[in-house]
Amino acid sequence: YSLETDFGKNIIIDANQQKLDLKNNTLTFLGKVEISQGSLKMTADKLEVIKNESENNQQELLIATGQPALYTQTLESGEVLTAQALEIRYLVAEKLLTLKGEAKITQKDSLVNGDKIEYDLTKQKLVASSNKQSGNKVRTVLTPKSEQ
Amino acid sequence: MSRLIFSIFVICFISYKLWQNWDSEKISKTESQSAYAPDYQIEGLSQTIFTTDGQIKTKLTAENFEHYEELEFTFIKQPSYTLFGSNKDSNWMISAKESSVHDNLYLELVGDVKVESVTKNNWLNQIEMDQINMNLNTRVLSTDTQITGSGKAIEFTGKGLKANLNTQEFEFTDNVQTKYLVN
Repeated sequence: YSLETDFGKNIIIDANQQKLDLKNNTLTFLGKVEISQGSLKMTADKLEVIKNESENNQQELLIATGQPALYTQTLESGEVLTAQALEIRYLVAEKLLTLKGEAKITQKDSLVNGDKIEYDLTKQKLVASSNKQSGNKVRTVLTPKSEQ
Repeated sequence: MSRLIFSIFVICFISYKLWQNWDSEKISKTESQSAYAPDYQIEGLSQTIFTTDGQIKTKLTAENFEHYEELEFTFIKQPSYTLFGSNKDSNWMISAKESSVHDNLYLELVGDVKVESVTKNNWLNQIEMDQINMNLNTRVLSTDTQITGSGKAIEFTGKGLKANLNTQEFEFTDNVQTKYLVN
């Protein structure tokens, strides 16, 4: 498995409990939540799945929260991308990852910290930002090849 | 002579006692039989129950329907309930091999139990299990048995369910696995 083939795979969610609220269109998983889709793996304390019906397409949004919530996926290159944050949002159709709260992404020789990180899984493009109140800065650490 | 009369008297007394015993046994037998014989039995039942303001509340069809007044117990074979909610999205059908109703309120369904949404939705259109309990007034469901469920491009398995068909809330209480079918 790797990133490109992952998106054709079914998403499997294991948890202790699952609550479904048809009226509010929300499905919530609680307790040791594990999500997998091919090589994509997420673990969290809680996962909310929200279906937004807009025009013709249906958009699933997965919101994983934890201390922290973790995300790993094998990229085309074979490298493993890992991410963690207090909240990880995964827009399934758009393949967009949004990390919020003590966000961190590492990929082989680089590490990015910030309050909020958005990562386009298809383009493998990353936008990191920090919120003014926290006073934190975005930090990127590139490890020189010799130190690996 | 007096001995003869005395023996006749004894024989009559014994037979009276025997008869009395037999008679009371017979009464108690018929009494207990009446408690076990249904007060009424209907084959090929089709029943519609309305709310006080004339709305359809429940429809029930069944192969066989036996009601035991004294025991406040109803036994139903191949029941199929349609439960009408406040709007069309909250109408549900429940079917099973057998069901029983206690105190005209507590329903238990056993054998190939299926809970189906009348109007298909994205999440949960059908749940299957071996056994489930339901309160006919509050429409709260509960079971500890293994369950499988499915909706539009989604499948669930788990152990145990708590649900409220009126508020449309469902809780799979243990060992849950959900499969999102992407294609």
